[in-house]
Formats: sequence, C-alpha cells, structure tokens
Amino acid sequence: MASFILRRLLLLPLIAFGVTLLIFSMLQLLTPYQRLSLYVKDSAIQRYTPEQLDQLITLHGLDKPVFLPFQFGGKDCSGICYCSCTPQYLSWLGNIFLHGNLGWSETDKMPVSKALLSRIPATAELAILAILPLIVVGISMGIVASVNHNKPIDHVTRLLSITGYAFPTFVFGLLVLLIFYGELGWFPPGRLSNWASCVVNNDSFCDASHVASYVNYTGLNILDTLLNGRFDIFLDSLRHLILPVVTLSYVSWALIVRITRSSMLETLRQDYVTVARAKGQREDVVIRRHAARNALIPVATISGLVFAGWLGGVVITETIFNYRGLGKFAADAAISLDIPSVLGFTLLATSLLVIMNLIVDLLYAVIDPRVRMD
Amino acid sequence: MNRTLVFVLVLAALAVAGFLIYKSLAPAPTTQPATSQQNNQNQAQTQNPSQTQQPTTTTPPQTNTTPSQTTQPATSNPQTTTSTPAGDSSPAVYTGKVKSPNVFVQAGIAGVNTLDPAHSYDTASSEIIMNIYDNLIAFDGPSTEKFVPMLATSVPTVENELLKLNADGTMMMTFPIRSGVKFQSGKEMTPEDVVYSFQRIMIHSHPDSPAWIFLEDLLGVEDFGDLAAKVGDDKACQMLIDSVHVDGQNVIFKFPQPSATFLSRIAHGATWGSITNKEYVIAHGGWDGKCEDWRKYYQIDKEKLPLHAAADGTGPFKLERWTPGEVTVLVKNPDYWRGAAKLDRVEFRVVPEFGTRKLMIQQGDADMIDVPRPYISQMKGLAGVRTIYDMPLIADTTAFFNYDIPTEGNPNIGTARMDGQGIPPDFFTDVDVRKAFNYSFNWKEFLDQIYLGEATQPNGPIPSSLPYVNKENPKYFFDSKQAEEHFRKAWGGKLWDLGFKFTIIYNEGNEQRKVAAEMLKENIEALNDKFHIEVRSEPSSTFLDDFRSRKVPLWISGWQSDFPDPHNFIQPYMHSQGAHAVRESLKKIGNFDNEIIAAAHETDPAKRQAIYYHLQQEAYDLAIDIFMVDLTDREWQRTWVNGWSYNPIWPGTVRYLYGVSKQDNGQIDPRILTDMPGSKTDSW
Repeated sequence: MASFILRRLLLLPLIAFGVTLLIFSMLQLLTPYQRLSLYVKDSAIQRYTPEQLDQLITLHGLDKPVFLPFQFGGKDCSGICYCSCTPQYLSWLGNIFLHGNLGWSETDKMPVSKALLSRIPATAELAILAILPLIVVGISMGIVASVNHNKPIDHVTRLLSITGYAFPTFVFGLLVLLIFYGELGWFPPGRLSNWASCVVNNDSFCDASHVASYVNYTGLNILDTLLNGRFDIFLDSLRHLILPVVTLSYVSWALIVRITRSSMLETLRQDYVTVARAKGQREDVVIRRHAARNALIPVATISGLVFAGWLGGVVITETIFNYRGLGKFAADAAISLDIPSVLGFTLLATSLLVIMNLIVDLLYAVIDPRVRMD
Repeated sequence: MNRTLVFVLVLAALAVAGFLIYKSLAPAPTTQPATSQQNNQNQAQTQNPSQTQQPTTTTPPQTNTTPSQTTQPATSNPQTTTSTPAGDSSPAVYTGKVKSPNVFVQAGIAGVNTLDPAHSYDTASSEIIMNIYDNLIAFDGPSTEKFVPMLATSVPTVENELLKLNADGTMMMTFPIRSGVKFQSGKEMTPEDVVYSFQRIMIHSHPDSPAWIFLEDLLGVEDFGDLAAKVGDDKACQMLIDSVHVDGQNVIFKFPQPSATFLSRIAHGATWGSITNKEYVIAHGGWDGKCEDWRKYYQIDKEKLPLHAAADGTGPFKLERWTPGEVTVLVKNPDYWRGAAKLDRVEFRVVPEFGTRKLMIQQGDADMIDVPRPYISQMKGLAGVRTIYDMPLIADTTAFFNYDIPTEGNPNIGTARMDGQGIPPDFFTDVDVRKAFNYSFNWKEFLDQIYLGEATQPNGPIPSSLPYVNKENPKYFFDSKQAEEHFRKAWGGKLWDLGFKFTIIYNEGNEQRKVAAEMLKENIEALNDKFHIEVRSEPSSTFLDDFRSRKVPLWISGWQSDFPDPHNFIQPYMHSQGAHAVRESLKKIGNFDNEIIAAAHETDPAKRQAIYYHLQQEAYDLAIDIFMVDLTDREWQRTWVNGWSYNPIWPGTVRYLYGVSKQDNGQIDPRILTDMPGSKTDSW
C-alpha cells in the first residue's frame, strides 16, 4: 500500500513538469505585444505612444526567449522574491525550488502563492459542501431509480436529473439568485454580509458586539466562525453558501444518478444478488449490502473527478454568486495572459487532480475489499 | 399513462420557472423623464443649497454620526425585503428603511490596480485615492474652470500675485500651505511633504504612470530618464529641485515657460496631485528624497512602491483593507481637518456580473452600481433607485485614419495598391476620401441607436464641456450625395472607377465600435459596388499587436481627459507626437505643432481662444478624423443616497464621498442640475 502511494506521488512532479513545459512552449507562439496586453488594458491602449509600449516590453522582459536561464529584460528579477516580469522557464523553476516563489500575479496584484492561498478556502468550502448533497442525493436517487426500474419514480428521477444536467449553470444560477435573492431576499450573493465581513476581517467601525478579535484559523468561514464562537456569522455564512451549493450540486446530479442507476441495474442482475435473495434475505439488506456496495466503484471514480474539478474552481458559479474563488482567478488570469498566475494555478490544479485520483483509488479498497493495492 | 404524468409534471415545472424568469426580467413601465416626484425633489434641492459640499470651508461640517449608529447587520431583516408596490410589474425591490445607514457600498466592475498616487492612472484606483488624499487645490463644485483652495490656503492668480510671469519667459506659482493639517498616521503635513510628493512622481517616471503630466509642464520632457540622458544627472537633478521647492510655509513651482493648464492638472480628482507623507514613504523603502539616488527609484514596479497597498493621506477616509479583486474598504478619518465624513465605512466591491450587481441595488445591499450602457433599459423603474443622466463627461469617441499604413505582412489593406482589391499606404491622405467617409457616417442613427439620444455629435477634437470649444464650428453630417461627389473626385477619379477594399478592426466586445464600423461599411458600400470594407473584431492581445504596428487602416477609439483643458485633447489628436496623431502619421497632411504649443503656454484667454478656434476649423477643413461622439455620463444610486456630488473630471462611479450620507428621501447636490445644463435625474 505504502509503495503504491509513494509511486503515485512521485508521478506528480513529472506531470507538473510536463504541463508547465507545455504552457511555456505555447508562450513562444505569442508575440511580445500580444503578451503586453496583460499590462495594457483595452481602454488605455491609446494612451501609450509606440515608444512607451516598447519601453514596457523591455521593463517586463517580454522580448526575451522564454527558455533562457535567468535573463530578465533589463532587470534583476531572478533572485528577488516578487517581480512582475514574465518569467523564463529555468528562472521560474529556480525561483520555485530556491525561494518557494511562484512569481507575481498581475490578476490579483499579489504574489501568486498568496493569491492562491487566499482563494483556496472559498472554493474548498463550496466544493466540500456541494459534494455532500451531490453524493447523498445522487446515490440515493440512483438507487431508488434502479430498484424501481421503469416505474414512474424512475422516470421522474431521470427526468429531474437530466433537466438539471441540461440546465446551463449560468441560467440555473441566475434563476435561483433571481428568485431567492431578487424576489425573496433570502440568500444574498458573496461570502458574507457586510457586518459579518467587517467582524471577520477585524475592521474598524464594526457592530458594537464585536469585542474580541476574530481569528481566521483556516479561512473556511463555516469552521472558523464556530471556533470563534460566532454562531451569528456561521448562520450568515450558510445563508450565502446555500445557493451556490445547490447550483453546483444540482447541475451535476444527473451524472451521479445515471452512473449509480446503471451500475446498480447491472449489479442487481448478478448471480450473487439472486443467491442473496434466494437465501431469504430482506430486500433492503440485499440492496444495501450486496448490490449498492459493489455498484459504488464507478460512482466513486466520477465523484472524485467532479470534486477535483470543483476544487480547481468553478468559474460560472463563482462569477454569478460573486464568490472570490480559484475558478474566477484562473479564468481572469488566462484571459489576460497572466502567465505566472496561470502556471501557479496549473500546478495547484494538477496536484489536486493527482491527489484526488489517488484518494479515489484508495477508496476502492475500502468500498470493495477484493481490490488490493498491488 | 405514467409517462404522460411525468411530462405534465415537467412542463408545469418549466412553466413556473419561465414565469419567474419573465417576472424578474420584465422591464417596468417607462417613467416620464420629469415625474412630479422628481420635480418636487429638484425643488427641494434648490431650496436647500447648504447641502452643497464646499471644499473651501474651514469650518468642520456638522455630522450626525454617533457611535451607537455604527454598522448594523446589512441583511439581518429578510422579512422586510419583499415589498413590491401594488400593481407594479417591476421585480421585487427593497423599499424599507435605509439599510446600513453609515456604510456605503459600491458594486463595480473593475478592481484597484494600485493605490500609489505616483503610479495610479486608472479610474477604479483613482476614485479610491481621491477619497484618501487631498490636493493643493480643488475644483469649485461641478466647475472645471474655477478653483478653490484645499491644502493650499489660496489659489495662485496674477491678481493675488502668487502667479508671476517673469521677464525671462519663465513662470512662478506660489502655494501657501495650510498648517495644522495632519496625515491619517498623526504626523503634521508640511511644505516638505508637498515638494516630495511632486518630485517623487517625476522621478518614478514609469510609462504606466501619469508622471508626464507634471514633467511636461515643469521640465519640458515626458520622462525624467530622457532629461538625464540629455543634460546629465547633475543638471537634471538641479532642474528637478528648482522646479518645485520650499520657501518657508510656501511651495514654489517654477516653469520654464508659462503654463495655462497647471492648475487643472493638480486639482483634486487628479490623483497624481495627491499630497503624501514623506516620512512614511521613506520609512517604507520609497525614494529617499535625494535626487542623486534617482536611478534606484526610476520606473520601479508598482508592487514595490510603498504606497501600492498602503496609504497615509490627509483625506476624509482611511484605507482599512484592500483585498484585490474583491473589495477595498475605507473608514472615516475622525480627525479630518474639515470635520469627519458622515459615512463610517465605504466598501468598493468588485462584482463582475451585471445581474448580481442589479440584484444588489434592488435589495439595497449596494448604494451605487456600475451599469454598462447596453443594460440601461433593465434598470428603469426600479423602486427606490435614482438615475442621474446627461451629465457632461469629458470624453469622446473618434474614428482615426491611418495616413501611412505599413504594407509588409499587412492583411488589412489587400494588395496595398489602388486596384480595387486593396488600398495604397497613403490612401487617406486625399482629403476627398476623408470627406467622403465623414459624409457617410449617420450620426443621428448612431447616437439614437447606441446612446439612446444621450450623447451628441462633437464640434471637433475638443469635447463640448471644455472651454474654448467653438460651438459654431461646422460639422459633417450624413449625406450620401456629397459622399459620392467626394469619392468621385478622390484620387483623380481613379478611386471611383477601380474601387477599394480594406478592413476596419475593433476590439472584441466593444458593441459601440462594432456598430459604428458596420454603419460606415453599409453606407459606403451602398454608393458603389466596387467599394468593399470588411469589419473584423480582434481579442485585446491581437488588437494591441496590430495597433502598435500601425497595421490598422482605420480604427475607432477615444480619449478621456486627464485634466479639463483643451490641450489634453488637441495634443493627442493634432500634435505630431500626440498619442493618436503619431499613430495616424498626421504630419503627412499638416503640421499644427507650433500652434498647439503656443496655446498651451498662452495665458491670455482671448489669444488662447483664437488659436483653438483656428485649430478646430483646420480639423474640419482637413477632415482629419471622424469625430463620432461627445459622451455624457449616467449613474445609478439608491434614493437614500444624500449629498452626492459630481464633477466631470472626478474618476470612477461613486467619486468623492466626503459630503455623502444616507437618509430617507436623500437628495443629490443641487449644483449637478443647476450648474451643468442638460443634466437630469429620474427616480422611481
């Protein structure tokens, strides 16, 4: 088991190396002026004379080949911690290994590592809370549908889940926001209300009840608020999480429901299920112990991938609900060709995917004892 | 049977969802521009001029803020948020009491780039900086021509002898500095801080920064590095020190030539004129104040500037927190020298999605939001929301001709010859081509369709809200007959016989520019089967590349003022080295440099006017560009916003919040309507 985990983890740097090399190679296809669009916004293009644009290219080192070692355009950016130069590959690698520095994020106006760390909790909170209803409701609906194969409840379940899958996230998210915030005023966008965010950030001029300073232990509001004994902020945080969690879960239910259903249908036709029934076991025991457990392996695979995808950010959900998470960060960085941010995010997303895959593989052994890690 | 039941269920669910969407998105009945409510409001405003915020006052304004009124939970009372006026088909809107009366929330599109006044040159950053820092002088209310003192105690004029024109052609401007003003950190502001603030910007000289605005006037260059290269480090430093120095409690600026524009370059709203704390900046690693060390601090990255993410100004609000991409929080400076602001907290939230922003103002969770022009119709009729519109904005949109188009590897001009399959590099140097293009643009249709009639056709390169604009200057108009006549005359008649083909490029996502380009294409192609114009969009990275290499034969762009003076438009549009003119190679059709420089240094208003009138006439006679739109501004806010004021030069959406509070039946600063003819307001 240990050697299996070690082998899989050793693959991680290799995969990361390959992915980043690919991104740097693609960079070579862009002209310095194309890459300059990160620093010169559309609305301000006309403000720059051609000479000023050239000066900016030199300042940001955009005219240097990206594979050269430790050469930044007219500036010493190799040894120092943060710099808004576009990195060359070897110096970028060197900075990671020697200084633990991923570079400067122009998207977030802070070091990439800090930007990623500040955004992980929001996305993690969303993904963790959304995966629970996804798995619980998705698997339950799948099992119910398969047990009641071709009965009305099966049709309703399938139609409901497919409707969710067919709903573009953007439409569904905006719809629930219109109803539950615009019409009813129940669940606002963002992560916290103004008063709560004031307390959580220890700002001045907060409400009078805020006496002790608030400690951000993990950045996960639902956890930190409980650790700080602030149930009012805990509830506020939940209010803000409900709609994005529902949106994220609902549009992915179909996947889990369909896989659980088809896997269950196949398992229910197996001989050992017939034997279990022939032995006189109760139907719920047959389904729970004999069928469901065996049917869950593909479900675990898909859930793991969905979860890893969510951890890597959910752009549309984050945008609609004004949730400052990784997805929005990655999308903004990619659109504006913010290479250090894209690279930092890619490393994180790659690691998450590899680790989630490993966890899923380990789960196989838990779900089905016949699977051995050899 | 079962399947039928399921279908019925699903159809019912979809019908409910559709109804809810319709109910939420349906526009409310159009409100007449002048409702009785609005009239009453305007009347009330006029009767209460004391609400106007006067930067000159030295008496602290009365504030009604008490500690017990501080932040209330913003959304802690959900049962009050569902009231919809009976019979109103508009979405449910929060119409209860003022939410969070001492907290002002703006939901905007763009986030802050940097908070350092020496580097900031974008509106989202600047509107925050102008609330944290004060300048030496300020504009008088909505005026862009009259000034009042701020950190200086007087505005220099020839009459008060603080402005002197010397016999050697130089000019001196003296600012007596106010004493007893403290920075937010507690340190007293001194004339040394003023001098340091101006010198630091000039030494920074980053191409992304507004340093050129001072350098141009004070040292006659646009980059301190250029000056040092030209005259040597020692001489450059001496010139810098001479250009602005301390004299007792005064700060004296020395100009190599008279400047007619300096006051408007430094007035509040121009964030580069912010006065910063010298001690604070030096203590945090900023320029040490010694000119000989300038190279160490020249053009450094913004993130290494000490004021990039920190602030210490003398303004009414202090920086509490900046979370990039999410929110910038300001809190009031209780010791502000003009008396504390009425608001306790101001939050500038970044909310990229318009739908979310709209719901926030609808629910009262945002007090002002950014509304892009295509969404205006969705905002009409929201109860508790007010719009102020047709306010002058010193900005315009123009189509620029390229007089010297590079041919190598340029796919935008076809064969690069006058053969009907392309255009030659000097295609637009023929005045008849330019006049024909001008007569082919349908202003009325464009302004009505895209700007809903809220913008006007410019009189030339100077926006109509600036002084010295000649409102009698002739304008082109849509006339296909005249367009045809000029096309027939162009290039000795060859153009009409052979035809042409080229591409107009606009940056992706800019709907206004797309429509303008397509309108030109349609009207011109209708004149002759041999005329072909392709309209293509490009993503910003490609557009920048093409723009830089000047491969675009005709492009549509604009200019927003840095300071409210005609020079800030005439220079980029008509000076051979101006930002637009240099890309156009305007010098191929005329040279206006001497006149432009003379006007910038002319202190006699009558003589200045004569020069600018002549330049505007030249712009018309030569049809140098197609001047498309003189823009106006429109803002949206909750009706409980009180005392909101406006100046066309102030950056951003919420702008200056010193005089702003929140109360039932709030009123805007009446000078917006009285001093700026054309401005209007509606509320629902």
